[in-house]
Amino acid sequence: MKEFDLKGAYPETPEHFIAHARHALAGLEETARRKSIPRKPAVSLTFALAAILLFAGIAFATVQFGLLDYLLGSQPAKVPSDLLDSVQPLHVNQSSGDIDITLTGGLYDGKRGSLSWEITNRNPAQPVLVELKSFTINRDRGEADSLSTNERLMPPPAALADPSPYTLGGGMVFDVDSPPESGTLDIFATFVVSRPVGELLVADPDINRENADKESEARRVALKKSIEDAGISIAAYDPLDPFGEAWAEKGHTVVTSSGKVFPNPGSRRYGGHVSLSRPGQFERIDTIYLECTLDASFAEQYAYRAAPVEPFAFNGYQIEVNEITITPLSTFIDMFATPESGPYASYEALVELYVNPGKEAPYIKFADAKGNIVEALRLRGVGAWAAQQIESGQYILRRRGTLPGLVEKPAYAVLFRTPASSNGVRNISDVPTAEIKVLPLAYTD
Amino acid sequence: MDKQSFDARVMAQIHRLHRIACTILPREQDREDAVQEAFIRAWLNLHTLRDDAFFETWLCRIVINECKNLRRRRARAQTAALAADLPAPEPPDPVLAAALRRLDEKYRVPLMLHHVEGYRQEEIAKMLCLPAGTVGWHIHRAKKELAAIMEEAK
Repeated sequence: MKEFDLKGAYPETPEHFIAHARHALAGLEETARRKSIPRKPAVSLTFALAAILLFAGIAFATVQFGLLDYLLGSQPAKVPSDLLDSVQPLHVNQSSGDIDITLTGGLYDGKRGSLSWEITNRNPAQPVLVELKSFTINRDRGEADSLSTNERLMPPPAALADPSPYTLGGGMVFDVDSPPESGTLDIFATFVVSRPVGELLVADPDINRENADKESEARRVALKKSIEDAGISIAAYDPLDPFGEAWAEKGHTVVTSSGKVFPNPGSRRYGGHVSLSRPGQFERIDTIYLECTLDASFAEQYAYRAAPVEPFAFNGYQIEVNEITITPLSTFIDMFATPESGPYASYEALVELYVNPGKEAPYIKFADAKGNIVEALRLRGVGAWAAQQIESGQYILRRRGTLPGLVEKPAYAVLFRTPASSNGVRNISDVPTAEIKVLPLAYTD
Repeated sequence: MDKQSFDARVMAQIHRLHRIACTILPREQDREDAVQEAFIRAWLNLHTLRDDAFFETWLCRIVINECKNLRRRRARAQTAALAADLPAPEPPDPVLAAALRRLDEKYRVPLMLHHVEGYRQEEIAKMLCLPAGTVGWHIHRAKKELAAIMEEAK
């Protein structure tokens, strides 16, 4: 710059800044060690929690919560080491009243972002419910593709008698539509803290049902005793009202034995889509905001974006591939399938013919250059065919969602038509070769 | 890189790190906090740095991110009790410093990194995770706007 010497805008570095830096460096190893050790609850609480988690069939531990454990279940060993390194420790913390929330780690893999957190209730005598209410990514509203199912009363009924601070882990996975130009994901999360309004009551079919297996039965008995020792009533099992709606209507705040305020996801009765907490059972007492920035620059080397593909006919459909983005953690697909007979006028007719279990729909896998189906990492959240309304008001099929991720860049996408089974098992080797479409993949970067 | 080398290379650029913190954070106390957090983050993630030759730019990037994180937290936690302010050091050219503060941060930071610290646009692009072309444009806009602000101040 010719006109100005910008150095004139900057002061000399103050002595106290230099001294502070020296002091920080001197204590760096100890500080870093403390920050990298996750907080652990008291031993007695650990046992109580283990019992609850085993009892409730929760697949991942919540106390030693790890982001990749959450993302990958039992297969973290298959994750490339570079990607493991790119998980960002965050240490972003906000406290309000007795509640501390810490964002512990984040990761952006080129298509999906993920965030993990720990929530501590320092006053377990006052149990609370802490929910992620909303979040934004680079100021746009975010949608959690997969949210931790850990939201439950803190502490749960069985741990209410323990005076130790109670910590619970949680996390979420979310899709990012396109790589951020800024090179970062600025995430702003809003958590709501609520407390029970009515007297706590446990209503849970499993807590009253005897198990044939001795070990499970011993855990059930121990859990029941812990709940009763904490002074919480357990509703008698009512097959017509297993989750105690009648008690809720009488003003009780009804939770399951593990502290959930709604039936477990997957419950056939509720279809896994029940709004959190029944109306009137909890009242909001606080809102906590946290903000963090995830570095998106690591991700680019892992994300493979397939180049556009001409629409093609396939087994009674016209297929249009809108997007295939492959990363080690997820394969994102956005694909349209229009029946050759044309779009359907009725949503119900389309769903009945093509989406319901037992009906045939295109399915997709990926293959290497030799044609071998490539092994994928397991990741939660698999999209299914859905009805998409087009401009004419008619409906076609759309599959927009995620399949397991791939470490190697696949050479082919393989489409095949097979019945969508109720248990999700499909075997490509059972499909006649004539019904398989092999689609060579090129990549844009 | 061992701890001794880490310390030495950090302290070798302590003045630069202070200037970066000054560019983003107005309070001296926050500058100290952000830089301290950056040291911890750098030390914890040192194993992710594949080539020591890039340590300086890598550390600058971490400091920039920590400063931005802290600024956002301060903006949100309006009720948080803040420590008493440390005295802010006076720059030699207070008018120019004030003009610089009026620039949008997205222009101010690349301008400072280029014209004060002497980094090339490609290096700044890596630090800020932006395309080099965008950095060049931001520097151009910054110079133009700064000239206008200084003209207005006369």
